[in-house]
Amino acid sequence: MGSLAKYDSSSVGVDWGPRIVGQTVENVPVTGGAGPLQAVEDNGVRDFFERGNTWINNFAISDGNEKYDYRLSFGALNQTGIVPASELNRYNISLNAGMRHSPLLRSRFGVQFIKTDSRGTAAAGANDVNIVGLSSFSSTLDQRLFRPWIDEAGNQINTVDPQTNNPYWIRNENLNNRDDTRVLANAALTFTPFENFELTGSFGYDYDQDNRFLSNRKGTITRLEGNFTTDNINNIQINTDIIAKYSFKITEDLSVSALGGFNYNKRERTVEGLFGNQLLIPELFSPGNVQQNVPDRDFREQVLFGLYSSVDLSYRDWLTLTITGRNDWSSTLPLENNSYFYPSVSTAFVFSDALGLTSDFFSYGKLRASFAQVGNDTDPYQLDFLYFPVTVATGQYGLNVNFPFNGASAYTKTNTIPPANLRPEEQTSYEFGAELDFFDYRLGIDIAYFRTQNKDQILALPIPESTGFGFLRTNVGQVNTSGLEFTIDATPIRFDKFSWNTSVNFSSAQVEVVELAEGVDRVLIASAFNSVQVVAEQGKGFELLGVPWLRDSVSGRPLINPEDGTRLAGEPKTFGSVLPDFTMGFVNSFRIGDFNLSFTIDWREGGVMKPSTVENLQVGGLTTETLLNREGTFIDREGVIENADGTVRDNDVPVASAEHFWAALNDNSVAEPFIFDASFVKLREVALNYSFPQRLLGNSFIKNLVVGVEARNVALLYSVIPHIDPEASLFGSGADGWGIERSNVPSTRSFGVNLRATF
Amino acid sequence: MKYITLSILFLAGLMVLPSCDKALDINTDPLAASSADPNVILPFVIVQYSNRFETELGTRIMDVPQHFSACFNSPRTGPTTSFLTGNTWGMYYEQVLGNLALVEQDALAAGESRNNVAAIAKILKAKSFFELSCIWDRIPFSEALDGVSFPAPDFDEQQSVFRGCLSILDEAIDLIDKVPAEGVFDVSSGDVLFRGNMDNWRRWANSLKLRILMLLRNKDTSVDSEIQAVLSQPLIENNAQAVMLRYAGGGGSGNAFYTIVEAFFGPSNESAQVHGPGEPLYDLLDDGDPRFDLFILDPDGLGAPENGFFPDDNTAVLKDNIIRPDLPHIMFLPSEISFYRAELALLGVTNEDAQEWFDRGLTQILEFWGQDIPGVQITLDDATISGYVSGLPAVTLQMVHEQLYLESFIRPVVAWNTVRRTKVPDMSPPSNAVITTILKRFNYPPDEVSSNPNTPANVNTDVPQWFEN
Repeated sequence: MGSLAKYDSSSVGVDWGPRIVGQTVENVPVTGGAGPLQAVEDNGVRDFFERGNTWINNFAISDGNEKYDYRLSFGALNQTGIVPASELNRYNISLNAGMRHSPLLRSRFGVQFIKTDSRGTAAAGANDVNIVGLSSFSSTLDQRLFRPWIDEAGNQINTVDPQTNNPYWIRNENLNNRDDTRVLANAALTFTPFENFELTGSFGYDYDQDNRFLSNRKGTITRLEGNFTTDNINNIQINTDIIAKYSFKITEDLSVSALGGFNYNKRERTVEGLFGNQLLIPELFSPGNVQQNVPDRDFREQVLFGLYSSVDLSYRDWLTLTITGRNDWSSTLPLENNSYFYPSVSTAFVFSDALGLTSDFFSYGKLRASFAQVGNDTDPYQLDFLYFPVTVATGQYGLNVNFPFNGASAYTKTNTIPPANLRPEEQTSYEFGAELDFFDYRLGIDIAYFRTQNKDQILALPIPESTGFGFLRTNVGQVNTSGLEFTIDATPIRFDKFSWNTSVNFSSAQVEVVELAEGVDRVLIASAFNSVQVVAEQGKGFELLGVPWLRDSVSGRPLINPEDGTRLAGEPKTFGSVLPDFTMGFVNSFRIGDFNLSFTIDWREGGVMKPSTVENLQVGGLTTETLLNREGTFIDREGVIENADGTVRDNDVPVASAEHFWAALNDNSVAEPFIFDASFVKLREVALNYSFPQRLLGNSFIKNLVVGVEARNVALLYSVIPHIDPEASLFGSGADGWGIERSNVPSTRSFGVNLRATF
Repeated sequence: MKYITLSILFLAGLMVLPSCDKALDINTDPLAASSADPNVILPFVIVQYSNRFETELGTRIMDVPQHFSACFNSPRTGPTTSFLTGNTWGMYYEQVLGNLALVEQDALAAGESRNNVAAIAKILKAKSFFELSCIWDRIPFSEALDGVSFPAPDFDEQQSVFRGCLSILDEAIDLIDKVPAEGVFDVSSGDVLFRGNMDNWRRWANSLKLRILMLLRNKDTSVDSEIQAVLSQPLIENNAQAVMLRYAGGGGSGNAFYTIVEAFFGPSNESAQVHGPGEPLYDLLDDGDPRFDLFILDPDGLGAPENGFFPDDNTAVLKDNIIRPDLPHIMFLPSEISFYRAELALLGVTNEDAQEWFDRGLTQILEFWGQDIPGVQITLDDATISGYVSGLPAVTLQMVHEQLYLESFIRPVVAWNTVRRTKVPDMSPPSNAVITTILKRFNYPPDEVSSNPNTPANVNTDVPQWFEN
């Protein structure tokens, strides 16, 4: 810990202190007394993080006869995380039943209740006092010194210094709770007035109550007065369908099934929240117990009507043709342009049956082709120019002030210019594929080529803020995605006591931004830290945009600042697609008697990523690569210095120290040194199961019994990204999630045992 | 039977369809309005501007003109972060100017009865564009705030921006002249600065003109006649006319210079030792200036913290008399005008008495901090003030520039302008800086760079702005 080879017990996450040679320092962390300077194994990471445990229990019972059937199931997931004081408990009960009232009438209903409670979910990203990232550790900081973290009076104790929180205080005293209750119910009534005709009415109801509570206890450094946030979020979705279905045969070989339906879908979302700041009495989270209350309320509602139909034609079971059409009317689109129709056509031809080609060698062959269009609407309330009443004037560091301010209430205009003539989104896709099986189905190939064209996507397009607005909502251009997917399944070896199944799946999708809005060749998709952005760039795909080093135009070598020997920053550029070139999975399964051993290897190739955790670790001098040139000055030999006449010379200006070198890389602008190829190969899963043979179970009430052990995320076999899991992501999954990482909770390797019994 | 059933279903479907139109007509946000009164937009504009200004610029760049010894996440060493630049740029253009453009447009459309509202919008607009240019040099101005005609606004030279701001202020003053005697829109509840007093707005507009002209004059003395003209107009002349946004000081209404201390470090600046005086400020005040005891706690004479360092037990710290929750956001004081007049007299631009204006300015600023500032805690009596003023030697240009520096205390952009214009006091960047002078400009924010192809290439942040000599 420290800077410029000088020890500083307060510099958590900054390890540029002196070489550890058994010396005594006057001011060791936390205790503040004199003591030996000692290295802590793995920077104390293993002392802080804990072993997480997961228990999964499921129980189901079902029965039925020609009159009724039902299935009742119970499930429980109980999990403790690797971050101290984090846990998740989920329970679900599900009942699904059907009744045949008469030959003309039958009904079904189902209800599912899911209760999920989480405690102490770890914070990620930036600007949250509760983040405990890998750069929160230091090589000479023993995490065990932080226990205990609170005294009897409720004060925080054992902090590194007055400016840094005790990490156990953060984890144990600052709450991040979520209580989610979800009820899904559905009911359907089917009337069959005459043969081959069915009329079904169905109703679905999805209710989700998501209550969140976050607090910073009074005494939390940087939130000294304490605060709390409550958010009560209710989501309701109602879905109703009336479907008429009629099937008949035109000839003995040609059958037809026609369907027509009406759909009503309604979604409602209500959010009511309160931020309370500056608590009077600690741990009393009442609006009356704070000096600043900021209420929040949001409501949105949308309705969609749909009419749809489909016709299925089947000839001798080896040729099928399906034609569908649907027209939707959405409340979120302009009333005069809220209707959109989208058709699809698909066909499949089992040529092995049609042409009688089956043999010992060739078992099955099918060709398929499809064309489909899908329309889509947008979020509610996007069409009008609106003024919003506001409750706070925002400030840096969350230092907000309230409205009414000195008695004055406040409104502000929207930050997004509403669309002029919004059209529905349109996605058109084509797929051609084939399924081929050989050797009595011991070798199977499924291959598909697809091409998707997304037109008129409705986006809030970032525009220069110098226009007075931040975004323009509009239909945006065209993005094409094309790709190839295939799966090969094989059983190379199959005996009574031993078999080997292997499977390879491959997926490659290339995204091309064909056209954006007029005059726009780059659209921001996600923004993060240090000027890194994920952008859609015309003529390319979803690219990572950041600031590179300034380089000599001839040699391409970095230009050096002659004042201090550090590299200079250039102008922002894209560093490549955040999406992979392809992904592959290899699954192998071996059955040896009653044992089954399987493992899965995943391979992702291509894409780039900016992991801020790596940046923080390296700039803080926390990793081994920062030991190079650590003592004394050195010259960055890769760089060149521009001479007065425009020529360049090899860099001859030393950097003051390795600390200066790494700090200069992190001057909050240059992203290039921390952008990596995101390719990886992982041993994703290994599992061994044992199925108890019937001779052991005998005549007991147990019909099937399987025990097994499994391990997930077993090994990272290849990755050029140091120190972190290349799959970590700041924004979660999806196109805008890849490419950027910051302070994510470390990925875990899990080991488990399981028992499955059927009665 | 089959056909009867199908017919019933078809008729039922037809009955459902007409009701769909009504059910779909729900796309109106129940929590937003389609229009808003200037009495609710102006408070947002002014308070949002003030809070972002105080939290973003106040607590982060007061160490650039070295009124403070150090600020958190400061650009004093050269790099300007995307947080600082992006938040500041967005506040000015989107939150302030975007709303003001709508207020102005509606007021002008409503006719003379809302001339007062249009004038207020124009004055705040001119002030915002001026400050934007003081921070970034070239900025979108003539093509700004009109996304339909200019989806990618071009950037104007600083001289054009300053000239344009003067024109806007002239338009505002003209509108104030034409406010009708009766039937005027009541803007008193939304005007959280002057409660609708248009005489004060006129004074502020003229005073802003003088501030801008002083920067223009730094490059081009041909503006002297314009300066002489504006000096004959009503200006901010006494502390009762000072432009300030008052903070009540309670929960959710505190000034950020204090709330950052309270939220992050402790109950008071003196005990938490967050804001310390910069060395130039300390040195200028440590010469018998009565403001020393108002601003600085240093009973043992330990001196200011080193440039770039925060205060500790071995240094002076800024007093709780300054860093308090009800510290107003000070936007314009009469002393600035008086010191300009002294400077102009010394330079021969006017025939006024430089000594008289210098003494008046010094008296005004001492009275402001020691008597007139809202919530004053430590006071200065008249005898102390007059004794100090009369005890100084005859005024020189150096003295005026030093007083302008002190006068701009705790106002980041004004203080930064002063040191860049006058080069007084002499100051260097911190030892770990990657720039060779103090910071001269911000880099453009990444969001504007990526969305506006007309954004100029960033230059080093120690490259002087146009107005500097």
